[in-house]
Amino acid sequence: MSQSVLSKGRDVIEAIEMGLKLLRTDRDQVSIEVIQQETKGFLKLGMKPAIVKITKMKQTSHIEEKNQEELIHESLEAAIKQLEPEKTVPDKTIGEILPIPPEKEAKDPLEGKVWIKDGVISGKPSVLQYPTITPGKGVEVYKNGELLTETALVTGADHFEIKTAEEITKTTWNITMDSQKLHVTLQVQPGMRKYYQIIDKEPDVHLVAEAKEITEVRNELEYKMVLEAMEVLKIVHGFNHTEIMNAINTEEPGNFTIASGIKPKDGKNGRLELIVDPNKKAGPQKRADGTIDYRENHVIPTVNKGQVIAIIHPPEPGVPGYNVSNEPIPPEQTYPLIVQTGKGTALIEDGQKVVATETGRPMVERKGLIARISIVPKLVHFSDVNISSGNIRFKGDVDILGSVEESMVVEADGHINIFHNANKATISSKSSIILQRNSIGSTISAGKHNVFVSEMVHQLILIHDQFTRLISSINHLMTLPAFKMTDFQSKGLLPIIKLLLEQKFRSILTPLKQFLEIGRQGKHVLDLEWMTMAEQLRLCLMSSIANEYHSMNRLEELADRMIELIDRHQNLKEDECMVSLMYAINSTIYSGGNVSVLGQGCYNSKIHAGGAIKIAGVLRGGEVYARKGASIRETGSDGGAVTKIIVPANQKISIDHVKEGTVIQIGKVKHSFQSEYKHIAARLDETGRLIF
Amino acid sequence: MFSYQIESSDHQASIMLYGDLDIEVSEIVEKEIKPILTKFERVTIHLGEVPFVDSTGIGVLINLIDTLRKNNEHSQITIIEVQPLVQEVFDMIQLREILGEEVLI
Repeated sequence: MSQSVLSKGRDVIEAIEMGLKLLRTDRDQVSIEVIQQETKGFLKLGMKPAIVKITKMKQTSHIEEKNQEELIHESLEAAIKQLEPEKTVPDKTIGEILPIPPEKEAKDPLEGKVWIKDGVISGKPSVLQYPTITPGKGVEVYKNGELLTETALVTGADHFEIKTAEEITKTTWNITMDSQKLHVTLQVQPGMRKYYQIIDKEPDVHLVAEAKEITEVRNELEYKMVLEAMEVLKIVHGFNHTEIMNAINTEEPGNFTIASGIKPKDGKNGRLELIVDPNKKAGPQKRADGTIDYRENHVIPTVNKGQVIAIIHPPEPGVPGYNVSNEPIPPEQTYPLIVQTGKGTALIEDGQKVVATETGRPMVERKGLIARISIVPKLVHFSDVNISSGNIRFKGDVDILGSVEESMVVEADGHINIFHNANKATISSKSSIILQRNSIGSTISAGKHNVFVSEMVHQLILIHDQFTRLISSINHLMTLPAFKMTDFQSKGLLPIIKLLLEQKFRSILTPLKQFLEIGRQGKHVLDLEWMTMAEQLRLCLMSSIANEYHSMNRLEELADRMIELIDRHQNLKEDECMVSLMYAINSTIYSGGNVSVLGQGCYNSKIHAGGAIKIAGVLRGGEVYARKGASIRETGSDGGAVTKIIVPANQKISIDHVKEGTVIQIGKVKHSFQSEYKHIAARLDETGRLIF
Repeated sequence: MFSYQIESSDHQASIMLYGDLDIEVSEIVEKEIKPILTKFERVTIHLGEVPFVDSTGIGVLINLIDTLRKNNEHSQITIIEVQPLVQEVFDMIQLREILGEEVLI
């Protein structure tokens, strides 16, 4: 590349001399083009300077005289273009200094100044003043080919160039479909051209060359391109032309749903519409004015012979949909409800209705798409239960309109509803018990379990945990190199078990002794499997004579049997079991579900609830255990009778008024209240401390 | 085969056991060793030459120490020089906790 300057002068010779000075070279190392001959005017009017273009040659050469005229012609045109500023390209410009020798007469207002017009830096140094220029934002200023990093002088001999950056991003787009081919989404990120425009500057002694950033959004996406891409994806159905137009016109990145299929409409499975609601909760009812009517809490629905209990609705098929490739999408399959009629029920009208053939309480058990419906018979006893009526044992529900008197027993598989009191009686139901008045010295048990089983399960879980660790310790011990099994022949595992129970697994003995004790107490009501388990555990862990249980196989078998027994009894759904009564004194109450004491309160009674305990009155003396938390109005007494409330570690105890003698226990953490407290809600925090 | 050696002075006795401490040893401990050691207040049991143990053997050892303690409230018994592999067995059944910190060194 050869360096060249345009040079002006009063005449051609002066112009050439100026140009040579600028290029710091000699006449024989340049080629010279005369671009404009000078015109002499009168008093400067109509005067034009001479302009020459001087190009520095790499090697010395002379311009051939013959071509001189052609050259002049061509370069004149180029010079005119250069002189017409409208046509200069704004983003990449070569500015050139046209140094003009200072006029001696009539001071030029541009003298000693520099300016930018249409992207060209021009300057006019004076004898006393060299203008300066500083590169600013968005531009790179080159002075004689070198990048300026700071303010520079503008002298007549300098050659300036301004460069600006330009950045172009292309439009990106992408078409995606969901797995069901229901929706086609067009993702568009429009392209952009970011460039800098050099800002014009008025002549000044110092200026900063700057450019402003201009961003131009260029969305190059075309309708045709979208259609072609959709054709490749075999999308033929459900076009949304408005959205496609929006996508190709958008200036913002975005997602456009350009085609959608039709969703299938799911049908309904067969179902059972019950005409009487058997699950209506027995319990206190709200009166219209918002108060609670405790006497109306015996709403157990009853159906008569021939009454329609339920209507069976067949499944309703769904409507298929179509995806964007016009393929059908089947709706979810619907299934009929299988209704099994139990005791006291029959299907009529081609299996569309269930009708009662006996009088009693309808009961529905559901398991997936199978419903079993039956009638639970109901016994209504119109007077007190006493010596003259005898004990009552019944498969279904029992209503007793009077009281249950001393030493009498009422047992039922269904609900028991006693309208008066229970005095030193034993009431047990596999479902709920509602005592409309009081329990005095009675034992009340609701649920498929009884008190003993729930305690046995609790202890057995503790035993099992230690027992499995005992087995793995024995296995570990046998792998130790210094450990001999010399005594195994004659004594089996007994010596090892004895050693390990001595210290390491001593803690198994407490629940084990509890387990055996509860077994002894409840041997009349407990199933044989519990008694067998108790005997096997005793022989295995407490015998001092070697027996058949002291082998690895038998230990493992025993562990499996424990787990099986726990599983079978631990997670029985007892939610529907509940006990509700007004007042209890010296009684023992067990419920698989909730226990509600709605009246005056509970004195010296023992309550065990698989659900929550709610006492609307006073709890004075005795012990309550609530697996799902307890909420009590008042506990303890002024006299300080010990009243114990126990819940598991993850539950809460809330008491409105705590008096002396109240002991609360959450998980294994206990707290005794020595003075009165109001409105406490006790629980364990994250670190296991009891807070209230 | 199992053998033992007892060195004694006034109130003090030191017993060295040689061989495995197992079911075979129980009779020797019960009939021979126990009657001798009950005469002393301070007893040191050396297990340096005992490479193997079994549960009955450990049971016998515990029983011996319990008897000595019952016999004399002030008795001081220590077990020393337990081989590392045997110590592993003792750790497993937590013998230190059974006998008390001061016994097993």
